[in-house]
Amino acid sequence: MNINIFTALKPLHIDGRKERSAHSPILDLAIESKQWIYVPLVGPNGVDIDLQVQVGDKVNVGQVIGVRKDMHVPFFSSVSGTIRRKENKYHPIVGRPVAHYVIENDGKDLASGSIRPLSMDASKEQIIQQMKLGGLTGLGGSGFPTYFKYQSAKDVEYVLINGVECEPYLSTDYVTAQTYAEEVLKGSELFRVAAGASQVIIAFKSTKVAIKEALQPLLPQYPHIDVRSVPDIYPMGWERTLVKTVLNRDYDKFPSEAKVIVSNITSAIALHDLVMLGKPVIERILTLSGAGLNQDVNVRVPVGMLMSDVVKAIGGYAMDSVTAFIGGPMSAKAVKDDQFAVQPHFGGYTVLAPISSQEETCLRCGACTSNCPANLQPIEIKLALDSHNNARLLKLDAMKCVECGICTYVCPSKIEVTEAVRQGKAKTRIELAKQMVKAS
Amino acid sequence: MTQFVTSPGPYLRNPLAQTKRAMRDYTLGLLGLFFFSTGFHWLSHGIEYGVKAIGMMVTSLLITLLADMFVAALRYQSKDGRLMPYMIHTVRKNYSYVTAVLMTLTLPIGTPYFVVIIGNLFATLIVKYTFGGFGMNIFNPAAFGRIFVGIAFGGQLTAFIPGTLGNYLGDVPSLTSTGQTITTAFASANPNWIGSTLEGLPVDSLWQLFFGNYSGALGETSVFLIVLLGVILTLLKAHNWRPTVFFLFTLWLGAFFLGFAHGINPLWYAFTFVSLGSAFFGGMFMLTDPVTSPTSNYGKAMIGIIAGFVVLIIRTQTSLPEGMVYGIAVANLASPIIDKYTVGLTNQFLKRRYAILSGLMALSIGVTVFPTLVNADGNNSSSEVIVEPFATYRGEYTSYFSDYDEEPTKLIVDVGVDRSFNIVKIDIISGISTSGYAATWASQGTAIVNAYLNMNVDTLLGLDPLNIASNLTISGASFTTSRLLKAMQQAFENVIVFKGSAQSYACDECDTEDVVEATVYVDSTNDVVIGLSWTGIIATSEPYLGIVLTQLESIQEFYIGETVSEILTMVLLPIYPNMNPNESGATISFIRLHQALLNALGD
Repeated sequence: MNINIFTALKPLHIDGRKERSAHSPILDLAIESKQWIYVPLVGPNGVDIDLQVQVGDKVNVGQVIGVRKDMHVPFFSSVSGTIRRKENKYHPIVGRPVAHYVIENDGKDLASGSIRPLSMDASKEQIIQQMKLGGLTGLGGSGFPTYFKYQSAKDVEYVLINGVECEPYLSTDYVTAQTYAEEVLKGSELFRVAAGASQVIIAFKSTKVAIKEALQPLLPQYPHIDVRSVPDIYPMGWERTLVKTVLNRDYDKFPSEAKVIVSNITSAIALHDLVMLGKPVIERILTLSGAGLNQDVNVRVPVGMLMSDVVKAIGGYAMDSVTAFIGGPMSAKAVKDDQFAVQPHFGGYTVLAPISSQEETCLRCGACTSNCPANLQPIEIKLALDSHNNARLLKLDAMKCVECGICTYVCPSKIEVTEAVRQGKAKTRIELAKQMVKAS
Repeated sequence: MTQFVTSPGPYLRNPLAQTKRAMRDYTLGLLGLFFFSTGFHWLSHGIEYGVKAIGMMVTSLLITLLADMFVAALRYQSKDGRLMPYMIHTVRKNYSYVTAVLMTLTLPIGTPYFVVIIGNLFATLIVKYTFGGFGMNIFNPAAFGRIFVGIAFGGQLTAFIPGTLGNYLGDVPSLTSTGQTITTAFASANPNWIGSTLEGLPVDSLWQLFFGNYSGALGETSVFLIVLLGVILTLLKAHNWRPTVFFLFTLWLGAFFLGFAHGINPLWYAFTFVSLGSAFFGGMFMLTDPVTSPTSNYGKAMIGIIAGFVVLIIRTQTSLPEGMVYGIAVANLASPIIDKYTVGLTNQFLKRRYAILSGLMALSIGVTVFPTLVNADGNNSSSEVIVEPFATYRGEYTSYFSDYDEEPTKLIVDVGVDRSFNIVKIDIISGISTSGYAATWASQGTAIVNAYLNMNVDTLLGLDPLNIASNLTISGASFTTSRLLKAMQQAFENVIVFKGSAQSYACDECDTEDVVEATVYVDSTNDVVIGLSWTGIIATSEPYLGIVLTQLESIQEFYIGETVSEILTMVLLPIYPNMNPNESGATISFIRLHQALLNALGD
């Protein structure tokens, strides 16, 4: 966020509410609760996958179920067992029911050994090839294939390891990074090699001293790694804000323009496991938190387990009526149902009481404009959208929005500004497409 | 079975971001000002003043509540459910109490209750509800309510309660002698706000202006308290600091340059300029009204400068004593346009935006300062020709200004004349006008006085106070100018004017007889000639005309002081004193002058 006299002078701090889940140990689930594992047969963007196993086949841990058709991202079985059937289940990212393989867990955890481990001496090409084989995606929530980012990296100076986790309620990165400090450092070093960068900076919030305490004793062994604490403001975890804060660099579209690559701290652990152990992401440490749950906890969950089973295993819902979403409350989208399979890039599941607020007339206070980390004018986008003023909408540059949710958060009139800007983005996309058609 | 409720995110809302809360904080801040003002009035002027302040506030609140309920009743449809909850909803969602409190704080203590009522009704019903209520109004209701009562009832917005002034004057220095508001008093003492005298003001120092222990509009006096509350409200995010800061800075800088240009201590002048009147109050509590501001902070900064510009112009170049509410009105008007042209990101075009804001500020200050310099030059050149009067006559005129005056006001004016009884100097000693009109006089009075200068007393006495020529009166303050004329005519009450003419050859070689006319002013109490002048052809050719003109003053001296009968008995050509033998050729002219004089007095 660029601060000037036309923006808020003090960036927004949001109460993290992370103490709810951050201080209890990571919970391991009983084997009974992991009996059924669901593997979606489409990617997060709705593209089908090329299946490599059929219903009735036996699969082992880490065995490839299929590969996405649009780019090389394999899907793995997280348990050993038998594929019992194909079943339609709700997919919260795609937003509709899609076909899933249902695997019955035999509890034996037989390894498939499909990916061969490398060592810390692995070259840039070897690491990127391993990322591709292991289907490593951005575990911070993007789900974007990591090898794509690293294979196109040129002249990168810094790798920024993002351990900020600015979304309230989530503490998975915090807990994981403390527990697997050495893996974090090794993974970061591997990222550095993969990017061809000279320096790695691990960034975390100034309030999360435990990460620093866990990493500090090991740091002398890693001369290229530095740790840096950043202010506890929202959205500090957004790449643009982080690059600006840590390195004071601006860029237009991608961090690579500023000679930076940003990866999540959990991705670093996953990369370590992939390179050193040959283990793809088959389990996640999920934060389950919020007033809607009986227990706030970080829990180790095999990828593909139904969220309803996870919730049942940790004590169930505390309310009859809830609003639940994958990730934190600021930028997530509410799910319609909890009968969905956990994906590798899910970091948490937050369950809150449904919000009830009545929109009032816009006060024109400009709080949304002042606080927008993308320096947009959200309320003007909403007004342009409401008045069908497409020319103005285009000038307001809605596409720069990252849907961080601040505008709705700060609105004194309880207007759904973020939602309006989302619609504004959709409308802008249509208008831009129309212009392209006209031009061609 | 757990129900999953979906709604657009985010699912976390700032519990502190509430319109209700912002409005409450804001109103509490305003009430702080109100209690300060009430306390001051009560303690220093008595219970009557304290009760009046509270009465005004209660009246405002009640009237806006009634207005809300009235509108709710008008809008009510059967689909809105029951009437009573709908009314309560309307009252709660329109925050009219803020308008009521603001409106009250802009009014001085002497404002009659019916004016308070009309102002609030105008503000809520016309300014706010005709546009759809809270959030929809394009103008600040309180500012427009204030403009309305200012225009309609300007004379009654006094800084004292009518009928009580006599009890307090003298021992209470915080009231002005005429009950004017402080801006009016300053504008009277320093025409067009340019000057450094605090004479006639209820304050005697800048510090008193800061602390606000004087009588003025209820909420506007204490700069110190306003700034304190403004800072607190900004920290509580109840309002945006940008309009205020840019407004006050524009005003301060404009005044600084004005002071510099006119040789007044710029720092003192700049701080006095911004501390007087409603600049701090309006800038802090009315200009920041988000509903009537642009949404972007850039726009909010810009309306600050625009309002500053309007206030500078109105204070220094128009007949109004204060322009804050008009500044707010223009800023409100500019807001939609500013919004329209503020596109792109808030960190884009930064250089251009800073340039536009500074350019606007420089333009405001330039347009304010330069005309005053030009005017000042004009005034200087005309003031040089003023000659010291030969004699001064004092006139008085006493009358009520309006039906609301408790005491008649006495206007005292000194009129200086030369030997020809041409008016050369007019000194208004006191009582030219009250309250609102005094400001009008302060700005336009100089022109009236100038129009009287060089007029001869004969013409002056012939003017009809009920039908004054347009160059001698001010529209909107005709009563003031007519009082001035009456007082000036009264100054020459005992003067009788004689006129006569003589027709003769002006020179030895002349073919035709020319006329010379004499006007003689005689004191009716003792028949002594006090002034005289001639018009017409005194001499036709040089050097005689020059000789006569150079000698004219001594010729007048010769006659002035003589009684009429003495002059009439001068059968011989008078022997003028100091007469140069070489100028004896002008004797014909002197004879002609004498003859005209005899003819005038002889009638």
